[in-house]
Amino acid sequence: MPNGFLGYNFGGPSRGGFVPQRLQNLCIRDHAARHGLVLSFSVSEYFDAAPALMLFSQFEHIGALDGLIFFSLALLPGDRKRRAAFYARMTDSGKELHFALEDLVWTPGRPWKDIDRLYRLRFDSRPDDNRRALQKLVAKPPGPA
Amino acid sequence: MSQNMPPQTRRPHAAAFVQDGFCVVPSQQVSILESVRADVVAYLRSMTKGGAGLTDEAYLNAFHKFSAPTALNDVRVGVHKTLGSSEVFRQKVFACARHHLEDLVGNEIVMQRQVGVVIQAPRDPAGLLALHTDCWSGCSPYEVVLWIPLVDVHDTKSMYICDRAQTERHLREIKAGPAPESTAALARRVRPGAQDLRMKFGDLLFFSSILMHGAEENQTDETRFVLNVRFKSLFSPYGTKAIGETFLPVNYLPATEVGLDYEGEFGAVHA
Repeated sequence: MPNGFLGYNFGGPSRGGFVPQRLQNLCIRDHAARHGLVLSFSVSEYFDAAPALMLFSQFEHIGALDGLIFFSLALLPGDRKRRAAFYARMTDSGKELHFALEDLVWTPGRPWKDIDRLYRLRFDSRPDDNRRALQKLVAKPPGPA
Repeated sequence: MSQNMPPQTRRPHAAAFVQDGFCVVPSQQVSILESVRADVVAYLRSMTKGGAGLTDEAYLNAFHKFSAPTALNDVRVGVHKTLGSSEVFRQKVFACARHHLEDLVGNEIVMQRQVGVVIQAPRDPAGLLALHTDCWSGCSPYEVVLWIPLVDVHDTKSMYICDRAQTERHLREIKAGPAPESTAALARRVRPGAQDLRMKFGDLLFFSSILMHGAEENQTDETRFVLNVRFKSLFSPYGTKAIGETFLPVNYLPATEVGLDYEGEFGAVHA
């Protein structure tokens, strides 16, 4: 008998920003309440978030849960292969995945494409690099060819 | 740059947007706009008694007669939750504006997830937004705000806006200091040069998120009903309102579909 959803947050700076854990948990609890979900408790990722060790350890007992509620899409593993492995484990589990801040839900059977595209568009730094290059070009135009 | 770029030919509303920071255009999809308004009216009628037999426009104009001031916020929240976040409603709003929008932000577009609803009853001081530019609250200067009156608006039933030149002049003054001591002081400085927008139902206002604008207490005898929602190019820079959280893609063009799929499977191509 599943015991509700597990919240997932991170105590350190993430993607250039920092959100106190208390606020992350408020956001997770609000999401659970609005969607009528039972929240059992929340776990925090280790301070070195990249390997997502705490996240992956939840698969050892995912059968006892209804699913996971991430504070944000930003907490998905940054490494593409690690992220793909996470998607595969979630698919195998047959459980739901929620993103509280973005109010997004992945349900079993749906493709991961939409979620992963949003993640990559959101955290791709190349458009910012392009903007900086464009601003330089505007400030100092090249001379005639 | 000019010696390297071909001269740009822009449609009149796009040229006006560059010049003034905003443009008012007639929607090319009035029947869809009427359907959007009918959705709002149907929801309100389900929540509130009164106004039987009135046309949609007359009903909205007289809405303050059917809803007590104390109940107005619940109505506003209800419309926002029920219609504002409905995907069908969102797509209808987009369809009303797409024709003009593509000239302003491109044809690969993200749209704010919630369509905002403004209801301002006559002489109701609550819910007014002081003079501001959206960029001050984290909006990207690459965003375009779509403002859709569901009734004819004029004078204080409408909003006021500073054009691009005025906005930039005020921003330079603020940057140079001293900073205004209050929002009221800022409004006293800015308001005299701002324009009151007079629009008919069927008109659309597009304005840049950089523009200073605001609304005053509605001193007319009719209720102001307005929808607002933001758009930007998928790949232009974001402010603090991020994709996923605030914006969702409306469409992907073919090359983006292919590129996103490639990078999803094989990784990003870095220089």
